[in-house]
Amino acid sequence: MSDTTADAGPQPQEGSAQSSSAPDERLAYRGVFQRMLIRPEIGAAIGAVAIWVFFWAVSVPFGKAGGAASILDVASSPLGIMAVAVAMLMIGGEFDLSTGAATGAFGILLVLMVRDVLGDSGGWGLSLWIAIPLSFLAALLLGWFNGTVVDRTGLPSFIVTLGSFFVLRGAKLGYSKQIVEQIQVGRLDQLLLQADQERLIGLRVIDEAEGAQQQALLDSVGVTMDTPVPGLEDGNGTFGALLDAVRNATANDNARQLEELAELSRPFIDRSDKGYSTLNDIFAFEWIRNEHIWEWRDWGYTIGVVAGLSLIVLALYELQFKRRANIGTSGVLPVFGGLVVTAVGLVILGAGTISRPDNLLAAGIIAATGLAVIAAGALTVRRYLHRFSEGFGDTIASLGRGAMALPGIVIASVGVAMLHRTDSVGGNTIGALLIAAGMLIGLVGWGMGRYERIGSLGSMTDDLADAAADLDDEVTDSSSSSFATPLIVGVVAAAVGVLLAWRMDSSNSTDVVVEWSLNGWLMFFIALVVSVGAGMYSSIRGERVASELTAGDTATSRALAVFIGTARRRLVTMGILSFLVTIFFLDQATVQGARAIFFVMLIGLAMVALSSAVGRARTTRPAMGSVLLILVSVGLAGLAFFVRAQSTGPKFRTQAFSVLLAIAALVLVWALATMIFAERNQHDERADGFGRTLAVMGSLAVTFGLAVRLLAVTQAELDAEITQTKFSVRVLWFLAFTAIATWVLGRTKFGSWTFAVGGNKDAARQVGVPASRTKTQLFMLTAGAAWLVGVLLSFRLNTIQASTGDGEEFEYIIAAVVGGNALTGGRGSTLGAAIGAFIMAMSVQGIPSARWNSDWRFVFVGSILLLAVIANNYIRAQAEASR
Amino acid sequence: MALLELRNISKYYGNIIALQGVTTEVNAGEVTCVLGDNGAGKSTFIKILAGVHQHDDGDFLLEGDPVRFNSPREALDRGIAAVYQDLAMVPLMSVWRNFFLGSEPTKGIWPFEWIDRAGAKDIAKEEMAKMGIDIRDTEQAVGTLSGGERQSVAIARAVYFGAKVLILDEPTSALGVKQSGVVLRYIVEAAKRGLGVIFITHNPSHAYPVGDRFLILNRGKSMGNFAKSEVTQPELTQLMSGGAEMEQLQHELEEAIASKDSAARDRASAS
Repeated sequence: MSDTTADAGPQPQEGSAQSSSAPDERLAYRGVFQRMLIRPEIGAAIGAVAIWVFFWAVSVPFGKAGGAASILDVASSPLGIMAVAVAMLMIGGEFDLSTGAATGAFGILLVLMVRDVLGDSGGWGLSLWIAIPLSFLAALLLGWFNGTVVDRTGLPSFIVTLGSFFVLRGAKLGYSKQIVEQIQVGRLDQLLLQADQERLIGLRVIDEAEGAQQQALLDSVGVTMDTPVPGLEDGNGTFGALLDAVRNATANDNARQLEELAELSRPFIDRSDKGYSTLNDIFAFEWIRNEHIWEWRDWGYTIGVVAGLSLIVLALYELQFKRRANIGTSGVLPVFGGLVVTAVGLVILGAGTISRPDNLLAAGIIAATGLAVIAAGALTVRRYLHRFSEGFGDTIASLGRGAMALPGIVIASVGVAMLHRTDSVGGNTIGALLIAAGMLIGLVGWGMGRYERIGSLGSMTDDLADAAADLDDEVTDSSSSSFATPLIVGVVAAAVGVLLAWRMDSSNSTDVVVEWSLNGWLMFFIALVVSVGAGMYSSIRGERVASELTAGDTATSRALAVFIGTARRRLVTMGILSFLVTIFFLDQATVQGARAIFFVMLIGLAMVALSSAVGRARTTRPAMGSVLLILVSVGLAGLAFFVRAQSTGPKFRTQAFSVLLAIAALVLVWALATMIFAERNQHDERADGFGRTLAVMGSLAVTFGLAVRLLAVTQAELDAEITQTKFSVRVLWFLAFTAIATWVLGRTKFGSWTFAVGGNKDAARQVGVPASRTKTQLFMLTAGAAWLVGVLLSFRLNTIQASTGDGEEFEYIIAAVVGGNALTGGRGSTLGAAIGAFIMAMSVQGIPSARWNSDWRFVFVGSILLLAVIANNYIRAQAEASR
Repeated sequence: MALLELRNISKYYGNIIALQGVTTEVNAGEVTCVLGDNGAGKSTFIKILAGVHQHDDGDFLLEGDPVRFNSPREALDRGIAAVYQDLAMVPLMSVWRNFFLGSEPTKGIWPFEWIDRAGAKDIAKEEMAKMGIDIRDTEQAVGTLSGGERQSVAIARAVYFGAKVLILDEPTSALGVKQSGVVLRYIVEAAKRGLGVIFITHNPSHAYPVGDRFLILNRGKSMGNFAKSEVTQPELTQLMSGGAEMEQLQHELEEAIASKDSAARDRASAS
């Protein structure tokens, strides 16, 4: 070890900027994919994709939005949440067989607590606001009991929780039979019926004027207020008839009057439905989405955007490889978060209606920005707190500066929302400006946490002047060039691409221009060979020419050689992408399709050329790269306005304009940020190279997606019928639960202790980990998750069967194991368990929708379990061997 | 004043006398070796020191104060850290997580409290470097380390968390010659940094070079408590095995060897 570290002493955060903890030079660089391979969830992730593709291929409804919605629903509500909780318990080295029965038990308990009248014994008639925390306490009690018994007796948790399982199961059956003489407890929504009743009673006690108004409204829907109000159980009595009348009125044209009536009587509802309406929105809200015609166009868009943005995120991560070791990850996270939000927004846009601005997009982005604001607030508070306390050094400070990135992302997100909600030029411009401003603030915040500021402005302006002079030279005298050729190639390619797209857009037809007589697969093969061959050729040639460079060569040939040499991986990427585009037009090509191909290829070429121009300009003069980026940005904005002014297709005009504008803004912001901040002071050749390649691949994939979406619209799609699909709020509960569990497991003390008690309990205890407490808390966690599922179930079904959840505990365990959790404890991942839940859900949904006998489901699940475990072991062995 | 002093410590499990009348002391910057054969009471001895068990008789003085620990945590809080034979490591967890297990440095305010991973990794690496141990990657799982490296993690951890007295339970028993040498160096290193080290072993040739004081246990009784100047290595071996017994053993061994040799001669003449 070097002397510097040995002398640094135990002053944790102090001077971490100059601290010397760069990664050890004896560690070989491992790319981000290689690092991902040793994650426990990798086998499950690959399996999930494979199974999805499999069912997508064999079943039509599986791949549509409706299929996706039902997979999400099955994967999330009972299965996913429980699988994640059970996975944490398994990592802690224990099992809980009572979880399945507990889900139903807490649902029944909740209904019992809130219903007034339930058979002989009656319910407790509590408000939901009281019943929900109360039942949660009951759940914690169950968990505490399980945990304590396991801990105190030292018995295997299998046995103890098997006992709890039978106790719960018996209690459910006995209780529900005794109370309602049925094997179900239910009608949570009867609370609403009660509320209706009380509302009608309540109506009569308002003051006279309002009373008259109500009377008139009631008259108009044919309801008499003198009707006696009988007991609720009498569903066919006069009260029932009254409600029927009200409901029928809703269906008819008196709906408006009824709405007014409902508005007037809202205070009574709020008071008397015991919180049902509000909580129903929280636990069982459903979004109705227009099911999209989920054709290849949308696949192209979705895959392109998702894959592209993921690659860009990975690229940023990779480019941070060296710096991260010094400062920590604080500043990167906001940027990643912003990209994820943007990705979600774009995907929602893709899955939404074709032409109308989408409300949900706005809602989603507003929710995300809200969270970001909260996070920013929390960070700011922390910063001030720590300013007054001592002993916190640069890390906190850089975290605080990094927090500046958050408002930036908020603003950028608002920009994206605006861009897609508006059709006007003004709106588009404002949207793009907001994106630009947001990104600038975000990048400045990020840069402050990450990079060094360029010393003096004076030197920067000098640099700029030099750069401008250089540019003159380059353009006039291309023989001395380093970057002029690729620059010109890039600009021309971009311009031609956009112009071509614009020209062909005027012929907005679905005419088939080429009918392949050849077999589609042959074309597929040819495209593959040509694209890969072209990439390989350029790669070989690039290396050869670069190695043969001599001083005597002409400048042009040198430039060409360097260009091919540096761009070869990007060319390979481009080849593969154009091959992908070709796949979509195996049998027939429309005008739009051909347009999309040209557009992608030309823009791809432009990006390759421009990025290599910028990269090489930067090696000679840092400011030069920024100048080029600004020029590119200006050019893109110009094209955007040109398209806006000239294009005839309304869709192309608006969307291409906003997208071009947004990209121009992004490029501009990037240029400014790199001008303000110096490059990293530590480079890692391989990480940087890999990161840049990833970034280019990512941008190409996004371009591809956007092109397919923007340019290949057919009128048939615009005219197609729209069906509806429901997405449930339960998915959000699942996502939130998984996210929190993952954070807790990976980043907190409790998570560390969970791994420790599962891996070696005695050792953990010896070093001071409260092992018993940790295990008991884990049992309480699973019981709490069972409670959450129970609540979600009771709001979804209103009536809970006595047998609900019995026997499902094994599915939770299977999902966790499929997700890479070790049965022996000590290793695993909550993310993996969530993916495992998706795999299970896909088998539940996929087999019926492929019209196979659903009895075969268990064969399928069993095989998946075996395959997943074997694959996990194999992959990990391989990856560990290479570490 | 000695850092830690034991006077006539005894421990009974029912009618079994596990330890009787053991006296020794540990000084800062010195290594006290506890020697004994299997079943000599070494484990009971360290468990009393580490707070796993309580002594039934005698005085246990820490920096002059009589103490009696009810849990390992209490002993740890007073600066007595034990590194057990099984090392108290979680093999599937990374080096830095093991290093900080149970005392993770955190940032943030509960419930939004998270582990300071970067800081923890840096400290783990630095602390190990100070002990002369160079770990390549603190993310490496402890299970993939060699036995000596694992010892070093455990020792460095105890030192970092402010141990004044470091108890090492047979750290060299499962190691090869080279690895044992490395661990012995860590022991000297720890003593050099001012810790009082209690080194438990059944191997006098490991104990003698590093020890400043030797406590010899046999069948729960103290066979003597010597400073290094008062005893030689062969004497130690002799005392450990309880003198007469060893002579008996030696005699039997010689007989066995003699008969083996004669058998070999017989075979040689027959062929």
